[in-house]
Amino acid sequence: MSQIFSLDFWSLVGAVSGIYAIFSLGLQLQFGVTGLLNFGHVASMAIGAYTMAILVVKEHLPLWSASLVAIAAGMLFGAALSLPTLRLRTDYFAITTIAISETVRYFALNEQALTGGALGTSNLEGPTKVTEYNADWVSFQASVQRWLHDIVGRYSESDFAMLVIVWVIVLLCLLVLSPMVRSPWGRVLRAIREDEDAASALGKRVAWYKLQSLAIGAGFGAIAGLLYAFEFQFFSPDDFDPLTTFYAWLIVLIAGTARIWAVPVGALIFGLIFSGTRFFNFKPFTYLDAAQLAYLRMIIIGAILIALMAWRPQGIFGKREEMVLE
Amino acid sequence: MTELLQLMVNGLVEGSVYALGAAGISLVFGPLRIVNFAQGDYLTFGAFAAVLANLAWRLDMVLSTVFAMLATAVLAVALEFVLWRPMRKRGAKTMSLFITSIGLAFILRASILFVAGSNEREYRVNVFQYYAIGGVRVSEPQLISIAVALSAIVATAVLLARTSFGRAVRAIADSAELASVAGVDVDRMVVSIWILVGVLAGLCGMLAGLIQSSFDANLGFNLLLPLFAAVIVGGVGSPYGALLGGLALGQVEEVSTWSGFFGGVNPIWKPAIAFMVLIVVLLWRPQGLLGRARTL
Amino acid sequence: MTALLEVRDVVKHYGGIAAVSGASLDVEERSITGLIGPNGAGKTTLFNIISGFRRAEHGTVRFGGERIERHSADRVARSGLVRTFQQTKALTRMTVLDNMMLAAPRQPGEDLLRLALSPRRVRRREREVEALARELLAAVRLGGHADDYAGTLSGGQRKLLEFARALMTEPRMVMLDEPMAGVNPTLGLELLDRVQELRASNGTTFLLIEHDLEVVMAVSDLIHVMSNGAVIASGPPSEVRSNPDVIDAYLGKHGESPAQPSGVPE
Repeated sequence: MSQIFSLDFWSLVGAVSGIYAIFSLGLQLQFGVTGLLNFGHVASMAIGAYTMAILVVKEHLPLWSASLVAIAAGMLFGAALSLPTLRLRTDYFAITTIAISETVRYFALNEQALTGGALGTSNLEGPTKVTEYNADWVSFQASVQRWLHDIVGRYSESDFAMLVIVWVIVLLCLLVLSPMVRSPWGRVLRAIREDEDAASALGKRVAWYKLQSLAIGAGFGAIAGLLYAFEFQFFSPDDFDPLTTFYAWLIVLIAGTARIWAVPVGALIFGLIFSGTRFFNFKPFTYLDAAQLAYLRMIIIGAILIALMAWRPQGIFGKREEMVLE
Repeated sequence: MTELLQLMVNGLVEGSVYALGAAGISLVFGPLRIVNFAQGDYLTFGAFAAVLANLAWRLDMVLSTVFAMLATAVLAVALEFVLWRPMRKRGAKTMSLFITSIGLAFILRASILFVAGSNEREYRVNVFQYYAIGGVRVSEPQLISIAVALSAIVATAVLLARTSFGRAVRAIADSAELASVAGVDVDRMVVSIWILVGVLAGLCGMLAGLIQSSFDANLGFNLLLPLFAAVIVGGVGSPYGALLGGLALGQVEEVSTWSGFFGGVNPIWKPAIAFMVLIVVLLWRPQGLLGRARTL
Repeated sequence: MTALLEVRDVVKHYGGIAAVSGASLDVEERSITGLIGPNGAGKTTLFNIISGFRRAEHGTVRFGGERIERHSADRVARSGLVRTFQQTKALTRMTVLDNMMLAAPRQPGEDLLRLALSPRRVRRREREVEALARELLAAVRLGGHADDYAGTLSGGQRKLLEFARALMTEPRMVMLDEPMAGVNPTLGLELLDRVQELRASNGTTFLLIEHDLEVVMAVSDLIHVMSNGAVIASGPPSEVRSNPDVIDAYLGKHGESPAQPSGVPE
């Protein structure tokens, strides 16, 4: 129970919420603004994380260049995703995106020589050598830690430093994305969400805009993947299953349609629900073991999704007139 | 050559289960307009209901299967009254229903895990009984599965094509408004459709568990994407397409590993084959094999 | 002199049935041309083909001398040929003003690179576009609704919005698909007044599909009549009105003759 007051724990929850916020911002651009039903968003996260790790460990690239390439790789993937949208109706597109993200995950799982396979990034150079990609990040984080210590004094644990780093990046993402969405460019995206044919009839190159939306959204996903990799210092294909995409959907739906600044709030709410259930250390929950608590959490999440659809499809911060889902 | 035949038989085992499951999805999508992401968990429910009857109540497999079919039908109808109908009355359309079905999938799977735990289960069947037919080996469960699945598929096809029930289903699939104008009690038909879907799902779930020899609560969800792939490949809106798509998918999955096919695809890729087939078919022929081309 | 829009021998089938079977027509620049015919004659399909939303199996479409039958819908619109839809496509979850500003051409703000590098130019164009939009909205009596969501407008108001929005694109020619359907008569007349004004002042060409035959007869310079997928008659209203083939086509379908108004809004 003392954990409930532990700064380390809440720093972790906060950092992970921030990572999910960035991840969900990408999805919000694709779905909330442009109306593209991307249910394979986690693939961009996987591509970001794996590209970076492989380049650092196998090609000995410095962390920062590897990260930039990783983001570019993610964006390229997003751009490629626009090919199916051109020919598919929204719900078929949704299923195809899941198929694609699962294919990516299987690729990571099976191409052991490239990705370390099921054993994850520690296996990148074979079972005899435990590899890490994180060295440069750790020293960066340590310097942030020292800087914080100089400023704030008390909170100088590494988890707190990570929290600060993540949320600074969240803020940067918001400052970049928000004006983009409110610009004429964003207006075209919203028109596409409303009615593609009307947008075409007004001379807009719909396919090109969809590509941009998917690519930039995937770029955010890749950034989230990088931060995930840095936070946990190790990952494997199982970290990138469809469940993660569904969490982002939940956050986007909580936040409301096309709302940019509400996404981090949604992510925090989600993070609280997710980790808060850990503290159900009172009856009747004490009759449940850890696994059952996890299942209960899933049930709660499912119930929230349905409740949102039934009673507040515009999300917590959305306006009723701007309901995306009919 | 025997290798190819063996693979084709294995493909038939998988494919007939896929076809059965895909038919259920197609029945839900056509008349009911729901892309039901929870369908996999209906299958899991069926499989575990059969486990309950078979292991806990010591019933034989036939009775357990009947129980599974009934129990899943009850689940399907209950969910119609508790969830789908209220959502439709609120004006929920395709997208909200899709996301609702995702929430339902979470709830169903987590509930099964909650009650039954995460251990793998198997039925009390003899998995070691093999038949050798012309160089091809088929286990007893596999043979039973093929026979039962194909019979169920034929029965369903006949039901849809020849009976007034089937005609009403197809009428509703075309247009619910027109069907009700023509005198069809749409609300009651919807319940009947869910009963059929539940029965098929219960059977399919049991068979899926049977041919896997051991399974856990992820059984249905792992099947779900290949099932959607089968429906889409076969052509959405055509239950016959779903059947065809399921059988075809089973064949592609197995035969792709044949050594005569450029050395054969590495079997570890098998689960991903469904996805890759889906992607290829959608890019080449978006309406699927038997579907109608999209119109504005 | 070649016509602004030349359609020759267009053929399109849907599932074995010929929706358009060898249709040909011309629209002269600066004219107001009508396209009439009983339901199912293929008028909207022809519109879809001309505007790039559907591809014909056979035939050519020339706009301003250029062949456009293989062009995508957005490319056709960018060449100055825009259309409205029978079922209005007002972007309901955007404001009326946004609907209008969307349509303006040459917006640097729609390009990410220029958005980032020339913010001042973007802002300037936005202000221009907004002023133009408000002007046009005022001209169709929708000025007070600029900040309302398009979804709150009545059916008739949405038609006007779609019309005004099409004009924002600075088109050379506008194809109107049943602009009067569901619109109350006063607003309808306003719309027609605008059409005639625009033709006179800007030289904009108009092609309209319309069921209200009185209206079409009154406002068109030339009328094409479609029946069963082909154009069976073309000429000034007085000629068309008394053409026996045309009367047949209508009587065969609905028992109405082109001399009487149909009076049934869609």
